[in-house]
Amino acid sequence: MKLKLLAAVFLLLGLWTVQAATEFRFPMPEFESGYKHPAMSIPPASKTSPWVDLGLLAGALALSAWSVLRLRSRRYVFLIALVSLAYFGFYRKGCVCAVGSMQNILSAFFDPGYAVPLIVSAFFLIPLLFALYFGRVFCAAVCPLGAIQEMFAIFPVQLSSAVEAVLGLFAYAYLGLSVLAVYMGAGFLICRYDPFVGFFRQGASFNMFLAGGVLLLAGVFIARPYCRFLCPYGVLLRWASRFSKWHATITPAECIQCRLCETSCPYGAIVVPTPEDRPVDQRTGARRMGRLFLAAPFIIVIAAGAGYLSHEPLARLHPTVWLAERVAGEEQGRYEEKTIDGDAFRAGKRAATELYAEAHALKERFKYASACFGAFMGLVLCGKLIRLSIVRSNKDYVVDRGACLSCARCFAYCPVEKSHAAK
Amino acid sequence: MASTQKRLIPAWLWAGVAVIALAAALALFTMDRRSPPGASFAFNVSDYARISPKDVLFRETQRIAVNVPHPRAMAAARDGSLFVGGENAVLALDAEGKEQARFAVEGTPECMAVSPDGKLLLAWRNHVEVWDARGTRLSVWPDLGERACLTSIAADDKHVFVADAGNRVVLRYDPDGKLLGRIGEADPARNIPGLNVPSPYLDVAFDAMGSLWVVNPGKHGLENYRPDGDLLSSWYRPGMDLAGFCGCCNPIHIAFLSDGSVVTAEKGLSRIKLYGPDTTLSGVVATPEGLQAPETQALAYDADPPVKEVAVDARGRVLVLHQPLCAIFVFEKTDDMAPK
Amino acid sequence: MEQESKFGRRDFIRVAATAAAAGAAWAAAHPSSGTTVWQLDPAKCLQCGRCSTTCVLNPSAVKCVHSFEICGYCDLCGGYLQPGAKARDSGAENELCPVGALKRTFVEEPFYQYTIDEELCVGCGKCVKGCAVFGNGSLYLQVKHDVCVGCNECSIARNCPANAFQRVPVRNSYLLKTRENGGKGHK
Repeated sequence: MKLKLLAAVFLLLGLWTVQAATEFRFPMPEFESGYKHPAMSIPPASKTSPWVDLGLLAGALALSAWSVLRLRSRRYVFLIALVSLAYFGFYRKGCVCAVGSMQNILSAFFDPGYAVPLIVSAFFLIPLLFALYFGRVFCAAVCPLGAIQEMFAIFPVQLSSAVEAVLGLFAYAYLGLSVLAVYMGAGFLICRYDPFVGFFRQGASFNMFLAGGVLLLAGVFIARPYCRFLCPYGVLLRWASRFSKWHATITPAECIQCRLCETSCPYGAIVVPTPEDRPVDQRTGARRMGRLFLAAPFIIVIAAGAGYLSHEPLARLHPTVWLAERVAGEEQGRYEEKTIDGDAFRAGKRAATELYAEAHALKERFKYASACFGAFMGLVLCGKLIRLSIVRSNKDYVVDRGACLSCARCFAYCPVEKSHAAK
Repeated sequence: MASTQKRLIPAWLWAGVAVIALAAALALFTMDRRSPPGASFAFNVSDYARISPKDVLFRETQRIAVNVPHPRAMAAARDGSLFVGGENAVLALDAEGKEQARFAVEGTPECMAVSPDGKLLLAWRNHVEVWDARGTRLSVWPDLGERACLTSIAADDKHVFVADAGNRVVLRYDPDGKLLGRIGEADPARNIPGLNVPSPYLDVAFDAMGSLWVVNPGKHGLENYRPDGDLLSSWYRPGMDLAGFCGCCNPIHIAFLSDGSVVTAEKGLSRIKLYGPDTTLSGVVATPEGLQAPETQALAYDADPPVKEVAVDARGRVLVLHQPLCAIFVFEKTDDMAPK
Repeated sequence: MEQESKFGRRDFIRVAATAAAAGAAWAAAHPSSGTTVWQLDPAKCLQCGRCSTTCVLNPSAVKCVHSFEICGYCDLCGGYLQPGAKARDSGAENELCPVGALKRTFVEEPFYQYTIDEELCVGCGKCVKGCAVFGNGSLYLQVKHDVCVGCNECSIARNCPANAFQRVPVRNSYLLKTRENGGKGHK
């Protein structure tokens, strides 16, 4: 399949060559003065070797894991974040990045002809593997998007866990929408709406700068809003990190339940011990769970229905659907001025009916895909509720492995840390 | 995460801040519209493409469908019949446009002419072939090499003139294909400026007196040569206005009426005009609109001119070969024409 | 009971997830496909001007290039002069380019050479259209790879009304209108 498509691409390139060659066979004038034309200015792409990127990614991840798990040093984590921000952010201008690479991987799954270079695959895979073994050390210090926000998280405050949970759903929605967009061929939402890449490449529209600025400013208090409430790759890392073999712990040895770390985490990732004076009612929990499991199918079906109903606006994410509506609107005089897109379409050789038919077919597919997106959101909601209703009895202050960004802030709050270090 | 500490700003306010920040970012992104490029960045020649109806002297009276893909060459014989060359085929049509015969050729002839004795002269990119009207190839003239780019051919009793745009020259042959001379090459001694041919358009035609005219497209005009290559006269008219020839190199095709006026076809602004024997503009034969060329070709995928050949038939009608529509547009002078 | 089995289950999930992620990444990767970059096909380009306004960079990474082999070296250049230019000199009021990036030098009678000052060019395509309509189409737009930052999703590609943008191998990163290499890449 891939080979066939590759062959087709080469064939097309070949055709283009032939066309170009036949079109421009007209000889140049003969210059008596012996004039020779200058060379065309076509500088090659000065790409950094992918191996450098890969090496730095793996190295930074390893260092980050080492700093979090072994050195237990916030300072080192912060330093690595600075270096990552400088290199992956400002030097590499935010591309290639693990967050966006997800879409390339998905594209390759939905369209076998889509070529994903090995480096992009590696950028997608390696942080996930590190999360499976060491927690979200990628978020801690390697991701440039995380790093730039970390620099701004100066006076972090804590949100209530309910707010945290509700806002956290946005990330799932963003993930779902990104997958939907890639599946439908509507483009890469994550790259399009990346709020910080404009700073990295020092070029973006005013709105984009403003959006990035708003998030950074909010991030002075509500630390890392993008990572917590939007980042779709963070969702995957969250899942992976839950099963991490090793993970950052608040205390290097035993928790003495001094409660000092309680306010240290700006990300709401510290799980407070179950109060001993309030014995856990296992039966209430079990009953709640049972009800939830019963309700889950209904929640999912309702969410799927809601997704289905929103297929119209979602379909407008697709350029073809957008163009078809625009062309139809211009035809009917619904718009005052015509767009370049409409003019270009009318100048082309395609019939409007053909465009409408294609848009209609896409919308039909969007119905199904939007319902799937809704069902996914329903599933996420159920998962959240179920997780909330699981009654765990833990005696110590521990980290929520999913939410913890391994930023290493809490280490310094633990008095055990100091005595441990003294040993 | 119940913090027992009383905080200066309550938690719900921070939640509000978070929600507002996310909503603001989302809104900013969804409202992100780039303004279209300003007017100074738009190329616009529509002012020049507009032609007043009172300047139009001709109207389209017939449209002959040409049943051959990519028609490119056309010739009108003295007996009124027409020949059209397209991809792999040459068609013979009667004066009304009915197909009389067709025969296969290899490739697409670039241009063609009918000699006074009824033979067809077909020119390919770098060689000429002589065919009879029934489709038998009589002879193939020598290849003119890689640089050659034949764009027009004209034949009278004694000569065949072949325009080679690639070499910027008009070649004079005898009817049997013997090269007799080269016309149009720069020669200060003979006061010949030389043909300036920036693009593959170089046309030759006979006027009503049988005298040879060669387009000098880079100089935006016509040059009248004696068969031996002496320059008799010339006139140049560069300009975007209606009386001039627009762009870098125009006209691309010419044909003469029996009264000595000349029909000129232009590219860029696809328009066909008529100049009187005194070289002043008489009027317009076909407007860009009439030729179904987008007004400015502002959004055309390729700027290839739609008009591939103009000819004047035995009845004095102007024939225009329109390649994209595979048709010959027939233009006739309107009767109620007021002299300009 | 659950505490005891927990480690085993977690280990299993971890190993399974590792395998799945690695498998997915491996399956998605195109071992034969090297790095690709964005380029625009001049055969599809409509010169709408969006290259100059929708690039994430300002000025845009798309610039005009000039294929000298196709150029007619005309005095009356459709890409250089305003359509109604009265004089054929380089007076600013006669120049088509809104930013003055197209320069001309005299070669010999009657030929002029045209070059592009890339520092000034914004990739609006105005000269490209002038050249396409009246001339040989030797001026056309290309993504300049010394400027382009290589976004994963090209902002211009998304906004291009002609779908003229495509990814090309980094080794043949230009789609040129030349006779010799016929778009096969740069010299």
